[in-house]
Amino acid sequence: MRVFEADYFDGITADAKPVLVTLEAQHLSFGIGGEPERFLLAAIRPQAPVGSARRVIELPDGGRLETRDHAAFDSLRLPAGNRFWRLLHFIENHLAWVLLALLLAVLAGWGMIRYGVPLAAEQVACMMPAGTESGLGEQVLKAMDHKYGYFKPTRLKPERRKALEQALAAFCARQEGCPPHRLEFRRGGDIGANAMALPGGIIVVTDELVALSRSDDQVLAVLAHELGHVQRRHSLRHALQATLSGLVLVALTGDFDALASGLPAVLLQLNYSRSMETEADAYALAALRQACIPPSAFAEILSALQRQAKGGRMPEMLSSHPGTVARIAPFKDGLPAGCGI
Amino acid sequence: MSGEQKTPVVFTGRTGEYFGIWIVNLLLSILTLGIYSAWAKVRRKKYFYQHTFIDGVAFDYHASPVAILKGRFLAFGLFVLYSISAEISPVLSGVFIIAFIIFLPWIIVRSLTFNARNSSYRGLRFDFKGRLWDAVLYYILLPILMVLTLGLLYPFISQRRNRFLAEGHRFGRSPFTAGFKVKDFYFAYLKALLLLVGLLLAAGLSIGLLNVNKTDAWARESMQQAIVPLIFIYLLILTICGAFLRARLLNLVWNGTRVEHVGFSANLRSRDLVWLYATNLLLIVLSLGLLTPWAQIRTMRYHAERLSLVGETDFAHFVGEKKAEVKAAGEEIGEMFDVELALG
Repeated sequence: MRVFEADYFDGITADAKPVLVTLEAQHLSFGIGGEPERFLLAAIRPQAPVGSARRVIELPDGGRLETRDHAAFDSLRLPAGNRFWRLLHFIENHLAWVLLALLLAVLAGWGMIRYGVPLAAEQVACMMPAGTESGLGEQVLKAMDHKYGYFKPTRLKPERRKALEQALAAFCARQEGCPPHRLEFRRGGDIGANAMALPGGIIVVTDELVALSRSDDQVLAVLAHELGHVQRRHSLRHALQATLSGLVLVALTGDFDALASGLPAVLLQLNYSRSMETEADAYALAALRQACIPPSAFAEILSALQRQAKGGRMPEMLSSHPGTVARIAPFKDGLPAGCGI
Repeated sequence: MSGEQKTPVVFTGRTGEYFGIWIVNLLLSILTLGIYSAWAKVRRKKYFYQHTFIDGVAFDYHASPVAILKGRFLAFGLFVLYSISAEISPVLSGVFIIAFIIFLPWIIVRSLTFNARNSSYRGLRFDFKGRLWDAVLYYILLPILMVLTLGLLYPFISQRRNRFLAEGHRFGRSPFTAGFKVKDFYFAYLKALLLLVGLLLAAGLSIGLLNVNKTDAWARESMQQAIVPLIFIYLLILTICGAFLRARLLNLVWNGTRVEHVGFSANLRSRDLVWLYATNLLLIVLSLGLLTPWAQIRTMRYHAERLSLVGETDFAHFVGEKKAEVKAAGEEIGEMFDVELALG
């Protein structure tokens, strides 16, 4: 038998009635104004303990007992579902377990965004119909032309454009697995010498890049890299990953500051891009060799781009393209023997 | 009435203790792919409610995690559809936003009702009885009218919204009453506006004076480099004015609110709020979110410290009744889309 102090609330008025509660083998009892109240222990509902708050026992008649006597409360036998909460309460209040939870939370969160989200994005990209994807690409291109004003109409001569288009078609014809695509020429303006792959196989190349190149092979090398993005549907997957990581963060962090969790997400986004660049490079290398174009053309134009950036190298962690030196190393080799040059 | 009895609101939550709850919540939410977040929410709210005392008794929170989870699934589904629609066509996402705006008053009322009915103090539940039509008026129709009046109507709308929130709530069967005046809201907003204009002018003048001797080209170049500090100063000014307004409005609303014979007294200070918000934001970002529990606890403690009850706290006057449960969908949809329900 055990006796403890508590406040009793009857659920009808807000008045607190101080009572002495007696715990017996099967019952809990207390007296209010001479009237004894007696409840079966099996019928009462002790609430899961939270922090150092007063412990609450909900009574079957809608009343409640609140007590500061944690020891007496802990001696109550709990309904099965409540054991889990008591375990959580134990973990929450022991430093070593809290630190372990912290470590596991960081690891699990990182793993989910690093591996879970790209996997999910790939699955969704595979399910998305081609028509939807190309519609999306057209919209992005339109937005870049008009809304954001990145691009201006090209000033390349029509014959030059025609020559590049034919060269790309010939390049594509010489290999299997060349994805459907469409080449677009634009003047880059602020973004300068550049090329990019949009969803739905639209490849945009800027006048500045064509001007920077010393040969058609160099332009083709860049286009091969962009074809790699197109083939793996990188543009769509990247957009999906951005949306999904946002969703994951929102879903997880009902009690988390979106701003604080946004920062790691941005860094992870850059990481996604880097692995995509590596994949596109691998595709370009294989395609160039297959089409008997010297892979060194890619190394040359990349070096030219690097020089043009005036040595303003971004730290590797923050750059979406892997370091140029490491990147061009595989392209230094010559052509395979079958090309007969 | 200077001799009136004052009862403080006391918050006893501690960062060390709450950190354990927060990190276990986060871990289980990640491991269950977000499912547990509904249970996490209940546990977090229980922690804050059960450590907030008035007259020696704390609040309690009773929401069923399963109800919250269902609402969350619904909200998540809608959010996914909205995200996809935004990628596919602007027209479709526009339709989504319009549909959301039409349902907004319903979501607001449901979410307030859900939260109130699942909150209790001294064994009595709170309730919310605000009418849907009033929500339509104050959250949709009047804001449209506000655009036509170039924003002049805004303090009036703010007063009406706060009155809607205050007068809709019940403690047991006792309704809250709102005695704050439209005039005072106009004064508060006017002062905040003057503060904003004054600070912007001061900042603009000092930047102009610093650059007065330099040639135009140089100034233009240095302006481009200075864009980050400029944005920072701009955000700081906005934070200061936002904190000023929030302190003023919270004081106004609490001081004008009553329930039966109990009044409230709030004396938040703008400079405290500026310091609180600025340091919270900075330290949360620098700690990659790990100081979030600390920020939540100190924010709650400050608000509790600055609020007290006025009048005789004779709780035997308050009488309650049992309430049917409300589905959680309203509340969770609102939370997911970040609907602003705070005072002000």
